[in-house]
Amino acid sequence: MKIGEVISASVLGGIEVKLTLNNPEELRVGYPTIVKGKKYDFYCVVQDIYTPKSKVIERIAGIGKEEMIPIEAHDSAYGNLFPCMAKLKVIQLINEKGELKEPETIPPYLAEVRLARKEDLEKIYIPNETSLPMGNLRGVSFEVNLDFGKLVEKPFGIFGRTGVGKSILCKIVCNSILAKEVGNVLIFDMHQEYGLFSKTDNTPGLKYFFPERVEVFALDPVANREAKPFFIEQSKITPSDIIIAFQDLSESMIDALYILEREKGSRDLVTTIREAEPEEYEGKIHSSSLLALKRRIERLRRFDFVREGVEDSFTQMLSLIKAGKSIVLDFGKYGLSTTSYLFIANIITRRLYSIYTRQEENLPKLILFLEEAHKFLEPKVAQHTIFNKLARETRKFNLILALVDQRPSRIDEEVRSQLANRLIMSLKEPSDVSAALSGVPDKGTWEGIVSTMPPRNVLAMGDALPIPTVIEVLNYNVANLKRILKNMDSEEIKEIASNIDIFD
Amino acid sequence: MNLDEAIDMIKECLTQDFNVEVNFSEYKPCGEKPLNLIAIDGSATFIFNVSTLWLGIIRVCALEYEFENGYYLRDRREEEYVEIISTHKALNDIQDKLLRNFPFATPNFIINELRRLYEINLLRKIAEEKKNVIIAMDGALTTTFLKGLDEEVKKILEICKKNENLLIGVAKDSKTHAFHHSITDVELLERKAKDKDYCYVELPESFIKRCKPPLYGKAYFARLFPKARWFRIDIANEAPPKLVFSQLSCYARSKLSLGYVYPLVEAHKLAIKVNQLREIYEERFKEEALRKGIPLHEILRGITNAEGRSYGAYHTYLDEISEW
Repeated sequence: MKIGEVISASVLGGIEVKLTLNNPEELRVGYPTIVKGKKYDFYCVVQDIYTPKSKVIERIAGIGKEEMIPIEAHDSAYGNLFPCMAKLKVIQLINEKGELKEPETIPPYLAEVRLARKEDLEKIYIPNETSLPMGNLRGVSFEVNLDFGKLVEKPFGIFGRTGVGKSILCKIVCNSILAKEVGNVLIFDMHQEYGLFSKTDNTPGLKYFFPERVEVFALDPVANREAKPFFIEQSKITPSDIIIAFQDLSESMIDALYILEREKGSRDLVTTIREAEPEEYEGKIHSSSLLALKRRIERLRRFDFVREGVEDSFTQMLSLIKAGKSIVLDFGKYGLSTTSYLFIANIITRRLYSIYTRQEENLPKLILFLEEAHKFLEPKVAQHTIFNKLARETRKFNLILALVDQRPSRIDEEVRSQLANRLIMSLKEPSDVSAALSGVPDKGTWEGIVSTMPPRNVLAMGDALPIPTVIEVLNYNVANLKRILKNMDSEEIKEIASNIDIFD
Repeated sequence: MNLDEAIDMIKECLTQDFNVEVNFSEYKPCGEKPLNLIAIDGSATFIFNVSTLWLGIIRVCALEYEFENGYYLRDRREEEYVEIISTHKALNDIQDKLLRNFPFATPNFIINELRRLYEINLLRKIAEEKKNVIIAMDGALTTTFLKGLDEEVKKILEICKKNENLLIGVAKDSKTHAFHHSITDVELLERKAKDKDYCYVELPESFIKRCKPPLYGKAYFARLFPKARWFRIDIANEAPPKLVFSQLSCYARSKLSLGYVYPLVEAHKLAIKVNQLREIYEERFKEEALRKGIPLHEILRGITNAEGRSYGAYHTYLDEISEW
């Protein structure tokens, strides 16, 4: 469908289009379009839609009588009476052979502009063995495949504010990674969404579709009796676990923590803190810092999963990971405690990092989904943890970090710059929009698109897609997953799906 | 005169007696679907001048609209003419006639007469082709100054009658004083008919007789929408004014041009494209002129400015100085 003609264009500034649509509401920011040049098809996305200022409109605005004929009921001798305009961002040129080229030129005046069609898009989005659809291209009934093989090669980020469908997107990504067998996942499941069924909306989780390949551990075995109980042996706790867990430790408390770690001897750190007396450390630790630290440590008593003298479940978890399993760690009643999440995530990640970077054996690729990532990667705490290193180095060691966050602006800039792929959902805070797109060429253009995207839409950019793309994330329902599962290679999964009989 | 005296004079003018006799007639807007309306307008511009020769472009157009609670374009016609005009010697019969009657005619006068001629030619074609429509010309229903054109106009009026077409002319700006008052007719009517919604007045016969070139219809002022401004509307063939205004009022309900016939707005927009597209005409002229061996410096020297005046004209230079 023709939507307009080019009235101005610039390689740097994009293309301005006079719309021929009667109603500008038919077009939306992010819609894919084709500008028909003489040598190339210019594949573009709608960056902005606007009505130019008009003196006539200013004069007639506010005049209203019933008998008057409204301006939309006027045919004009030259197209629309008051045409609207659109600004397009050129993403790619497609030549006559269907080859993609960088946008280094512009279309001529009055070049026709239309919405992109399936055949245009098939030249750009070419599925491969490791790709699966993630949803429809915004405004077009065309499924966009994301290359999950590429996605899991390097750290990536999933950003979006609360309530825009971030968890659903994460589930789709996890399922697709497992379906394409490009890696295994480890998820800290705070809200019991990823196991067999989501406790929030009852949608099937990873264990539902991949019962043989997903193991569920539970910090709260009472709430999930089918999962394996997970315990942390108290002696395994390090200063960084405590710094991350409590987030609000002062510099002097952090210093105290390291002093106690050095001087704990054969005791574990938690016991050392509990038993420490101010007089004992006079001159080394300020008494108020020590007392504050002791008060914080007492909170760990609320965590039943921290025990003395138990077999640490991490060993079991690690052997399952080595056996090619994915892990869902169900937080049960602890899901509401940010401290418990930060504490557990740090302990597990730190230990995985240590094992993966030793490279003593060939470990399977593991994608670690880290929600509330900024809490681990804020510049203030990042220096005390291994997450900085994890984001920067671990692709060499088969341990890939997936940052999931609603406040990307609070994630250390250097870490953000390491993300090879970004799945950005709606963000309203300008600093978050800007941070989510940091390092992206022509960032300003995408900022406008991200800040106006509705929920369940995602801007996907990076090497897992040929070009940055706005996608309407597919509905996470049985029918859609059935379709995706059909695409899977694994016969085993098909068989499981048919046995469960959920698709008929 | 000082400022006080000037303001007193303005005050006196504003408060003077408007007790001129004006016979207002009222009409009711058409309750049914009105006839289709075809609006005709034209425009002209110069793009090149060398010595006494001027190259002009004339564009005339007709747009047919149907009213159905909105204005819908049903048919269109555009004609474009290239004219070489000389103020020195006649280059064809028409210019010969004009120059003989108006030896000091300016290029603008000549091209405007030609434009009116082309408008009348287009009117004839439309009047022959269409039946039972309103044909609205832009401006008063005057012939041109060209002698012998009266016969052509008479023929058109007969064709209109035969095909049951209503022929009218709508003047956008009227500065007439038909009621022999110092203020213009439009202003006088606005002051006298504040409470009248759909009404009209016929202009005195004495005024029509004085018009040059002659009118070929009766002249009225009409208000086509409540509280909207008055427009002069000429009606040919003695068609009943109540019927005509009742039909026209449907076409004057556009929020864009309240009280004015909307299709004429569009016809005007289409006609003046000849000015808006002058760069394109210039480019084409340049290409063709170069191809035919006219030196580039001559071409560039002859390209006129937006008002059709030669760039080399001294008044252009004076205009530029005056902007400082």
